[in-house]
Amino acid sequence: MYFIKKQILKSLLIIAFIINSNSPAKAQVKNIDTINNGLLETVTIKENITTKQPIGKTLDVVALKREQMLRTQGNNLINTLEKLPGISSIPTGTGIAKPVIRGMSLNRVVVTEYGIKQEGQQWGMDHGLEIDQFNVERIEAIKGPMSVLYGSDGIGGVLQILPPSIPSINNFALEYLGNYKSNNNLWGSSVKLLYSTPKFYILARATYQDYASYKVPATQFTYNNYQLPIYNNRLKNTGGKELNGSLLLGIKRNWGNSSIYFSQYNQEAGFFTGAFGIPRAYQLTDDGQYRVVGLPKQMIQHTKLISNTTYFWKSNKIEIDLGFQYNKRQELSQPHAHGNAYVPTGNTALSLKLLTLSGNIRHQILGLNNWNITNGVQLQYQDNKISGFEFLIPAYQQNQIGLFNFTEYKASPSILINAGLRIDYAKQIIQEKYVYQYNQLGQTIDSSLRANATERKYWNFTGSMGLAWQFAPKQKIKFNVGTAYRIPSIAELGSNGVHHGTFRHELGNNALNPERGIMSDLGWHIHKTKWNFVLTPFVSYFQNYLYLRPTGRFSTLPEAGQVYQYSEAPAVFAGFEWSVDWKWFKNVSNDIAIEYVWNNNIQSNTPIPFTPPFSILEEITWEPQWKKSWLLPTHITLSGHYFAAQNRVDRNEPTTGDYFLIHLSAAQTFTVAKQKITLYFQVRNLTNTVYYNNMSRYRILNLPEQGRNMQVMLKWNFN
Amino acid sequence: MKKLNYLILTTLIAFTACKKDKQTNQDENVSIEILETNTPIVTEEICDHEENNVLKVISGNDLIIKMKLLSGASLSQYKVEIHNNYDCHGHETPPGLEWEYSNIVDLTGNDTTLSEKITIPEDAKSGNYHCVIRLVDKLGNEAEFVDFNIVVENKLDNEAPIITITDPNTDTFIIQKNTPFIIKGKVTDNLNLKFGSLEGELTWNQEPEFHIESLTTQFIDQDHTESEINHTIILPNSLKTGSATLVIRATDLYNNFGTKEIPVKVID
Repeated sequence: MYFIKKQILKSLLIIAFIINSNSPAKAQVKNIDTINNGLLETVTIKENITTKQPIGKTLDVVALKREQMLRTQGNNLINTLEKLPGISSIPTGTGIAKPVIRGMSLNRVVVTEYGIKQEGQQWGMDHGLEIDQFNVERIEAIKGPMSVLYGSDGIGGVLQILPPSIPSINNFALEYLGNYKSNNNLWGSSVKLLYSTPKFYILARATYQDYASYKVPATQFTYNNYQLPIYNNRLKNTGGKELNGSLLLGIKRNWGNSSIYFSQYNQEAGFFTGAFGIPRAYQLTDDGQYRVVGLPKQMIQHTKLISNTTYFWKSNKIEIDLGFQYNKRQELSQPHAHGNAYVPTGNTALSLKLLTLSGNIRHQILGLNNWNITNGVQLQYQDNKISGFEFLIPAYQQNQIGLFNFTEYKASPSILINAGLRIDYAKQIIQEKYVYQYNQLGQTIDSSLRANATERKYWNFTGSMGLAWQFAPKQKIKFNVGTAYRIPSIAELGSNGVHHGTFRHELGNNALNPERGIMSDLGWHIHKTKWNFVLTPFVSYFQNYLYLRPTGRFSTLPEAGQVYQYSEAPAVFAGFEWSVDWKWFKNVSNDIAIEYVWNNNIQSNTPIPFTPPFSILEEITWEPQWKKSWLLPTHITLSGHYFAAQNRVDRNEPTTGDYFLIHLSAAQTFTVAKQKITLYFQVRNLTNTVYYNNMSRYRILNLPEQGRNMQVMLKWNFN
Repeated sequence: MKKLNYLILTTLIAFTACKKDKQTNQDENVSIEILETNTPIVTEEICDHEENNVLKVISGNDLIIKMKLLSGASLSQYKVEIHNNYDCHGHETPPGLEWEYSNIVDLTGNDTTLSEKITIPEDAKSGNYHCVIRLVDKLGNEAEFVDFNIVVENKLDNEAPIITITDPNTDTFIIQKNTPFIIKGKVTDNLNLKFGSLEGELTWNQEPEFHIESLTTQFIDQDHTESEINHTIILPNSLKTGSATLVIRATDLYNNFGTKEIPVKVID
């Protein structure tokens, strides 16, 4: 607690100092409109978001516009969004990252694209989000309890990828993006084609990226008291490739609109050579093959077909979303026979094929004066198949259905109240799995049952309530409270295998109860002409938080360490986000975003692992306006990002020291006839600081993060 | 205004300068200390790298490791595991008579000194093995594990097989890329070639090697002491040209390996 108070005090001082240095009387405001526009572009959008979901009016929503995302583009979508307060990531190298909202990840964060929940084995720590970041035009993060609208898993919050807004005009547009990143020699291209008429549109995109192993500012790392080499500053085998394509077709009519979206995501990402098993010096010799993705590696293919329809009839609005997803995840590594197979069957250690069919129907009653009522049904069917010479999770089928009502009532011009209720039913069928051992002649000598045939059924009620009160001009207080509900994932029920790199034998527990709790948050929003202030503290209590706990017993499996079992324990999460931004003087603005998460397993009095540390992001942006018509405003941002030490760690989790990173970004657009050319330049980790990220999958190997990264990107638009 | 500013700035610097030294619960430290081994810990070259944690043993004998196990909370178990590392963890060889050892022992108290006696079976194959010793307490805290390289010499047979090449028998063998050529000869062993294998590769001084797939042969599953070499090889066009060394390696039943090096010149 002393630690928290110190950090809060530090932030208060930083703000006080900066405010004090720039009294408003000194600011010269010549062209308010231009400055206002500039400000909205650089700060996180707070007030005027029209989220697809009605719940957004009381919960805290943060977002980035596409231009902002391009200006400070990271390695992948989640890495780009990390600067938003309350959003973090769990990365595995540069290609893979998982979203974290207020310290919660895995199956507690829902990512939706065009209304359909992304299903890609999110329970896995090194399973990244399978979305092409070039294809994201609008995205918003809604923090807080979303169980009413999303059912199970909507606990930490939702990352919503919204369809692009296509104006109903005759238009033909082309976009080409080409980028290069120096730290991992990434070359990428993304091409977009748009053709629209007032009643129809077609949008196609293709992206390709190829990158080498990334560079770190260190030539060795220490693991278990051994000094191991990092030759040429390159982390061996951390390169990758990505090839994605998407097609969106839509029609607009008097009765509403409908669209069909097809997307294909393909990624090949290498794992650091020393990440599987105990790293040894002779494995890490430099072969100069920085771009070749060798073993061990991940290969992911994610195919999606989504249909969205909005239908207006009298005073009813009906929305139907249908989705088909096929996620194929493969982990390839050198086979470890250990008597399991006479002849190692190729390099596929683990292959998971997940088919998900989803359907959402929402009905909204329009025209009621102060009321807004939405009713909805959500269905999901899932089938998972497994193969490979290793076993981690069983094959299964899962069906879910949820019914909800969400009602909004405007009690007065300044008071908005909302409430939601939901009922869910879910059924899981887990198939049993025997793993056989063979002798050299191919005869079965032993078998072991690794998964029991299990059937689980769940019923649940969830509720939430929200309030938004404008108690003064330009000031609002928001409050939300809701029950949290999450059915245990198949991994939590039926895992039974060794997770390479951690040596942990991860064991499920098929008697786990669904995770239940109560979550609440507050929001204090002030939006003035020249400055904005948002403070959002939150607190959640879980009766039974499910996660892996060390059992204190070793696994009898070969090359396996301790058995970690999925268990339940009461837990608390608390924290806040605090962002302030203001205009200094002509064309210069300042943004500060602070975030903090504190959690605790009440039973064992230990923190929950992989908790993001306290951080402060300070950005100064200069947007000079030019008098030439072909020269659009320039955007230059200098940012300093401070991460505090993370000493609140779980058993066997290492502590991580604090670090400070400096980034610089600049963007300039030129207009020539119907064309727009934009140049983006970025330097990340300007000072080439050596630092460790406690959230990284590679933290346990004491591997430092990326060194200085210079990025250039060219965008060419033709309309 | 300015004075206030200065005050704020100095307080801020004071805060930042303050180092946070909160360590995780010191009372839960778990550790393994190796006190004694019945064979000395030496430094040897393992997989072309110098390793300083090597224990050399002869099959049929015991390896005894004496260790002190400590923990703040109550001790739970230790685990000793040994598995082969013949191919430097490439894991390409199928399992056979490879010796594997795994022992998990329950513990009590906070402080124990004990000896782990590992009997290496007489027919354990020669070669490099990895030994890992782990310790965990009742709360689940893990000690930093102890890691050894164990080099086993098979007692029954420590003689390597001998490779004789009859064709080519020139001083420097010229190989044209993309053209088939035949290697003839034989492998002889003092004891048994059963379950052994033949392998070959091209090396250019310090440059990466090229593994010759067509030479890879598993010897027959019956007791025998002589095996014929009569292999046709085609080297691909993508290969480097110049002076190289053709290295042929054969292993016998107990994983003793013999090599034969033939200087070659690769041409287009």
